[in-house]
Amino acid sequence: MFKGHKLRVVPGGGAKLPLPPGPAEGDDLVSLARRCAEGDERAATTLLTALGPVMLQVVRRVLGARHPDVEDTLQEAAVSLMRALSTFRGDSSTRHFARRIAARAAIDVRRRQGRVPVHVSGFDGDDDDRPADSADEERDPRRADWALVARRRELIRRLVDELPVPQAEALVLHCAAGMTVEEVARATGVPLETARSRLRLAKAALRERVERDPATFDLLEELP
Amino acid sequence: MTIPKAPPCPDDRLALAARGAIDAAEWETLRTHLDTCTDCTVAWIAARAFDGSAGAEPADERLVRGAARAALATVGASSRPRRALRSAAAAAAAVILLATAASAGVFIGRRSQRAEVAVDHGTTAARDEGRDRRVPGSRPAPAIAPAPAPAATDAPVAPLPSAPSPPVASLPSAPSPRSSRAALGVGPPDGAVGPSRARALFARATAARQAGRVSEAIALFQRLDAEWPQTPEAIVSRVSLGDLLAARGDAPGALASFDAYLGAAPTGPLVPEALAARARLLSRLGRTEEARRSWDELDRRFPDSPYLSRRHARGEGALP
Repeated sequence: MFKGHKLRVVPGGGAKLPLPPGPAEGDDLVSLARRCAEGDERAATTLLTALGPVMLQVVRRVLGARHPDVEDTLQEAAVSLMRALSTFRGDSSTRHFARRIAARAAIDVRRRQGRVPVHVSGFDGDDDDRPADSADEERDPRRADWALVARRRELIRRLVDELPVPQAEALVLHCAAGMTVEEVARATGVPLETARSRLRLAKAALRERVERDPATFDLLEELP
Repeated sequence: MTIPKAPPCPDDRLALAARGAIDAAEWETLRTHLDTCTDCTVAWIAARAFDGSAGAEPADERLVRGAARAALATVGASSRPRRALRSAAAAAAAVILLATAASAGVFIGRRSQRAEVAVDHGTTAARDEGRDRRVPGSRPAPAIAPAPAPAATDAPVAPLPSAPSPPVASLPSAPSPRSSRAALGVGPPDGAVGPSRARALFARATAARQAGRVSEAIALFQRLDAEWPQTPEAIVSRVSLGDLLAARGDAPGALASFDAYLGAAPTGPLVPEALAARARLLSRLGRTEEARRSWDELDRRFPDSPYLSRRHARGEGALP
């Protein structure tokens, strides 16, 4: 997959275009968010119930489905969301705003747990996405495939851990939450070209780390 | 020497592919780009790695309910003005009660007890409940933004917006698991998760899907649906099954699976995905009018859905 690829010049961004008007008009949750910021507890409860699955999905993607801190991180993200609503101006959709907060909370959790230098040799992966009841698969020859996938996931997460937080955040929102560059810019409150630049740098940094370590390179290449 | 400029990376196409919102032609364009751009290839691998951990699970409702309760109890900033007003009113009432009763010379002990309960009502209990919900060893939440006390308001509450927000009657603090389950649209079964056999089948099917063993995953999801059709596991898995069937080219089967999910969980967390996938399948089958209706429903119920941006970009479903 990577063999034969070399460092290449990536064209820079174009003119700095201002973002068009925000999506608040089409956001079905924005009125709930405003009422929540004004002190409406019922609105807050409804909003948290509506945004919870969205935030949970992002937390799981960053931490891993079986990470022991998923529930704790979701709670932290929900608390942060409540605190941040007073500053929410509707520049992004409410769901993207919540996704950004969840991503940041999950990234912070991983960093608080300490960075582990990425060196794949001897790295066995945490297997944290393995289904809880898969002990039966110990005797399953296909378990090797599963272990490989789990190692790749944890490897990618550790690579992302090494990125500066703004780049990691942009990459997670883009690749894990599927947000476009404009949506990333809106959710993080930066100009479009800044978001594009962060993504470009993050992708280049990931690639450099993969190419630097032959074991990492091989692990990613051999995966199905 | 001039270094030839590579074509710009189609960032948005990669993101849309990550959320399953591109069609076959766009995927081919992306794949062509991935063959020549290592940066995007690594980013795509990252997207796939993240995606493997994203499936909805039957216990999600409990996690969401707990997080909402914890946030409301921990922060409380948004409701501080109203609580302050209530507390002040209760304290004033207590003072009046004490003064009146003292002048009558009766039951001083009981009066102070009542005053204490009245002042405390609605604050301590909620905070304790929220504290209990936090996982042992949990950390204080990172402050993303300061939380200034919002202004008190007695303005009338505007009506709730249309779906997908669940009804207020199913607040996370509601005692009945059945009512909050209905709020998230996860169907009728009691209990947080289905029987252990259903859970085991769901886990095996999910593992097979994540490992790329499509046929095995389809067979397991179908077996789960046949044997335990009313369980949350079976209902949630219909979206995954639909995706797998669609990827294998079985559009009618996939359509039936998405319809089954929408029928069982009309306000479920995966409704946007199911509606968008349904619309794409209907377009593929040439049932354009039905496809447009499905897009319109997605547009109406989830106006900021990421799936809609692709629809608008392609001009699909534009009303005449």
